[in-house]
Amino acid sequence: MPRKSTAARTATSLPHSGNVAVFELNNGVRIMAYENFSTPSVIVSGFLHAGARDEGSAAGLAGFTTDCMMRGTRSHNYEAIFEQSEAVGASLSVSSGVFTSGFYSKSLAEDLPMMLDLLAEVLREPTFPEAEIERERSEWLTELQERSNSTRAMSSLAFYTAAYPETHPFHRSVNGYPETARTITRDDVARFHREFFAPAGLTVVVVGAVHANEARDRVAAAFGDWSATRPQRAELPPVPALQGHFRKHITMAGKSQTNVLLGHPALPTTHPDWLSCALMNSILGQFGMYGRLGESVRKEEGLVYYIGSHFDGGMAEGAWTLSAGTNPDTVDRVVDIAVREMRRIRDRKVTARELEDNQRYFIGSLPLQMETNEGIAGQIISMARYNRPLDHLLTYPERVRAVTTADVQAAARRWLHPDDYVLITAGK
Amino acid sequence: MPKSSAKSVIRRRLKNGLTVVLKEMHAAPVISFCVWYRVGSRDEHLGITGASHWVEHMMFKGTKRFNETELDRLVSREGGARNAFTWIDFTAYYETMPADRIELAIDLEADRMVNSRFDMREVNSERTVILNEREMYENSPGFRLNEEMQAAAFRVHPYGHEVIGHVTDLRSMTRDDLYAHYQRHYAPGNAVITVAGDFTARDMLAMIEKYFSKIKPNVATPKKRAAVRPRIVEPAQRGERRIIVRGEGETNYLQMAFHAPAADDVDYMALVALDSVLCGASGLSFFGGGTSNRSSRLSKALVDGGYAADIGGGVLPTVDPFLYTISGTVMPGKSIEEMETAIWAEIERIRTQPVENAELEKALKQTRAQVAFSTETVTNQAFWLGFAEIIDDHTWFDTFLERLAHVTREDVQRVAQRYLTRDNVTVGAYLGSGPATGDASSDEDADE
Repeated sequence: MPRKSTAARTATSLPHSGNVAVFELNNGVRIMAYENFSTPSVIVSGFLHAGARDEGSAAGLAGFTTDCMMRGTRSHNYEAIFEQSEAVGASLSVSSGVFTSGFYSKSLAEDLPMMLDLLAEVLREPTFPEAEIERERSEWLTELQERSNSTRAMSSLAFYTAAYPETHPFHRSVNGYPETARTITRDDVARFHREFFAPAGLTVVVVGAVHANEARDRVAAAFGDWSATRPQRAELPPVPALQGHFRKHITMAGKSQTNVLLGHPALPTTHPDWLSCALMNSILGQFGMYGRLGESVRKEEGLVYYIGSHFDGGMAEGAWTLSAGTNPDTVDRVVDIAVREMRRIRDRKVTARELEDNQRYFIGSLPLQMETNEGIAGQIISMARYNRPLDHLLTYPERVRAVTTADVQAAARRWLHPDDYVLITAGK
Repeated sequence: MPKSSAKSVIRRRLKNGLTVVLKEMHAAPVISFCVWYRVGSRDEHLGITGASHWVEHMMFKGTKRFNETELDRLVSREGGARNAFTWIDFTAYYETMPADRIELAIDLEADRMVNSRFDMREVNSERTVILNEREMYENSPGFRLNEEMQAAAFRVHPYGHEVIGHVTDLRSMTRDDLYAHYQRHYAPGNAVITVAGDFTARDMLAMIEKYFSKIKPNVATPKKRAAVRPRIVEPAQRGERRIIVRGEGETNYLQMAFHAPAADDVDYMALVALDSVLCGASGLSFFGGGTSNRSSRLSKALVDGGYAADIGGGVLPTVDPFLYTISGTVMPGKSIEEMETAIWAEIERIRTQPVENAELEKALKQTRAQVAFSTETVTNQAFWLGFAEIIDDHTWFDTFLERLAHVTREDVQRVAQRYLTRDNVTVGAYLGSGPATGDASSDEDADE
């Protein structure tokens, strides 16, 4: 039998309106299923609208709540939850971000019904046993202690605190602080779950060796009768543009390497400039080995092992950041070159060849991202999260190719600020 | 495509000694092409520690045909991903590409097997890149503890130094040292190619022959593999070894390492089963991942018992006997001694009482899932075929489950009694000296 060409086969394996089945339940739960019988596994992944945005001043409450949800449910205690999932080599986790809480289950297809039931219990009926909460708290405090010994983590904390106003959720760490970790109570956790975990907008993506209709029936059985509601969210406060440089050094004795983090607030993933920004940033700090930054800082001068830049994106004005690790003696040199590269990509158009290379990379690397059920699920979740049409990926090559060198320069001029940034260094 | 071809693995040896292992996988239009060299930190001695890893870096610096930037550019613009890793037993390079672009990877891997330039200026700029890489690792307490643990556990075998090498060697090694290491070890007879993905074996073999068959065995490479890679035997340990590493931070870490058999030893699979019972199935998570291990014996005793914030174990498959390692983070408020005592209690239990059949069944089911997950991507599949070929032969991975199924309760008890002894252990503690974070200073430049 003749094989189809790679191009034709790629188009059929990308998730799109022809192979993603979408079902909506009466309580607002959305199910998105993609069948893949070439592997024996099934991923169940998705999100609901509860997160650090909802926690007020109790930083880390949302994350602690999701951690504690795994500590016992109406019919499974902590031991049973892990015994049941680990006994079949499956993974189950829930975690919380700023806007949403996410969940993830991976198992062999034969274990899907059991894992889905367990997931539904964890999301809907956690019992928050006092003793388990205290165990979880000890682990949380240990993680925070370890965080305080990481140059990367400490730079990141200081960066977001300096770059975003106190009223904005990005100002605070979703992982909280020792003060909040010690004072949050069981009641806080139970109340947070009761108030904010609800089915409206709950998106469940099922990818793997299960028929779409079966996925729908099982998810409906697990979540269909969930009737909780949550309060509306207020608008986010505006993020003012930075004015001038803010530089801070965090002294961490005994560290061989200093971490450099430079950046500023930027744009959400849903912004029309997103794709131009992504291509611009790829040229600047990602393509090949860390893009232009890698060429000048690593290849030319050997000042770093890693350097790169990144747009956070997301549902709000996520940051653009540049990060690098270097010897304490070469920090200023790295920063100088990095800022020079920020100016260069604003002042002069990138070459047609650079843009074409990156466009080909964006389009050509799609099949690699679709190789696993996780990769496919991730793409479907992105479409759901940002309300993109299901054929988003089919039109992606055309949209990538439409970006011009002028668009890239405009994106750099609008979204990179070499005169207004926060610079955090953490090390000796 | 007939499904039956998906499982079969084809192994060939070219006339120049190059081994080729192919596995067709047609689920997605991608191919992973991987070249393995039988050289790692085990093939280094004092003075050139870190040479294998540094050579790996130099392999990205270009040849007469492709300069460095061009190498990165060509693969990326075809939508490919590429990387390399140097380990104690091997150095491996891979490109994972859209299936119709794989010839590029084959071309450039064949080229750099013998034509890498090792330009003096680039050797020197890479020296500081690698020193930076080492400093990055040194920022982590885990690296510092590991480095001291390996040094204490091995006093003869080169497994005793870290892959990245000693700072003093990284400062003193010359271009000629590196080039000699490259010439000695980078040759068709000392290499294995593994390819997994959307191809037909016949076409792939023809393409590999087109680019690789003309490469002659290097004059600097000894003809016999035993001469390139002589056998090194670590003398038996005769008593407990203890080390302490002090460093910044408030957290303490504990590690216990027992000399363990090589991957092709009859005891190896029993230790994998033992590790699954003690610490959860982790044998296949070379890239990380795997499941949680909350229902394992040590997690129940140590984490639920309040002694540790986390605990894990691992018995890595290696060419020569390496280590079975148990490591964890001490729970604040508990002492490292209390944590160690609790671990020894569990070791005593598994030495004196046979494990339950249900525990072995669980280990098997966990591993079955992990094996299934680990072969979902062509990159992982090519990785495991090559890893297996280096440590034993390519069937090592495919028969992993089968061999695990043959492990009995008696086997587990026997290897516990044989390896998990006081005389065979190195115990290491990382003791945090206090908060790492001191004063913060900041300034705002209003004028810029």
